[in-house]
Amino acid sequence: MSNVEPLPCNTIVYRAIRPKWVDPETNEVLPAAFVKRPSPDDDDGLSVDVLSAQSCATALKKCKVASLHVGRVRDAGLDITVDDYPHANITNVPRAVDDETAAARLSVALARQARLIPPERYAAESP
Amino acid sequence: MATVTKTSPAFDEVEHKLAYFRAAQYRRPSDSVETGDDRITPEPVSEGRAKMASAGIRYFSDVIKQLNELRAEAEEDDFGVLQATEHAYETACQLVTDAAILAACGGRQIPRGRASTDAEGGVRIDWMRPDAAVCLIVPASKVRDPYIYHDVAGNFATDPATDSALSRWLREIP
Repeated sequence: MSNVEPLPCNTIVYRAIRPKWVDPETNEVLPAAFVKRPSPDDDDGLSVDVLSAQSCATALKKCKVASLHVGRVRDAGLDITVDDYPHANITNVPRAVDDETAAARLSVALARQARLIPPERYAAESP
Repeated sequence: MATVTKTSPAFDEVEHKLAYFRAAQYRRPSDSVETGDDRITPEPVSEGRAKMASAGIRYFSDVIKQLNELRAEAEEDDFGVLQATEHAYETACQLVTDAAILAACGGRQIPRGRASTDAEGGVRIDWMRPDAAVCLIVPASKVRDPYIYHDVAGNFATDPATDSALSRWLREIP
């Protein structure tokens, strides 16, 4: 299913992240969670799931899940577009090889906005 | 005839510990010819670095411990390379150690930070606070130079990674 309608700003999206991309003392998401991989990976943007934390968690074998608010992502000059529901991409994020300052600034901005979802929350969502 | 009195230079405990551990972790420069893929044949963490991690030097030892763990990680996960490459690990350890020495000489210590790898085995150390952020970013290979990103009091920029620049920016992190 494809969805070309812009997501409302009050939408919450979910990003699967490496467990090491969370500070274990504070549970804060680290900027490394928002760095693009080398091309061709992430050419369309940083992957997010628009359905649920549980849907996001099932995409990868071992990951944690962070949530983001679409309106706040847009405030940072980025956007989120759905390409293959429930998959979507955070767009306009540069790679460090193209603009290291912008890439670092945006990774910090997204990390500050992201909230870690406790694993028991999405485990509990399973049928 | 004048009397010459010899005195020993004074070091505080932190300076002494750091000087000791820097000497302990010294490694001969490697040959200029690359002999293998450092992602699949990792060097074990040196005894000196293991000592630094367990020395209990506030925040510094913890960062070195995190870097040692990243060097000993599994090679890959779903996101890409998980294990820090030798280049990224060595460069990050050296910069943090030298920055900690400079900080100690100025009567400071480096603040609490968190290390992680990117999807290529590059290393980054983030010092995130509500009003400031400093990030040391070391790419996986020598192809790209390491750099420091700072976002302090609404001003942000990147600088080439040097021990003095890192020590200077970390002053802004409470």
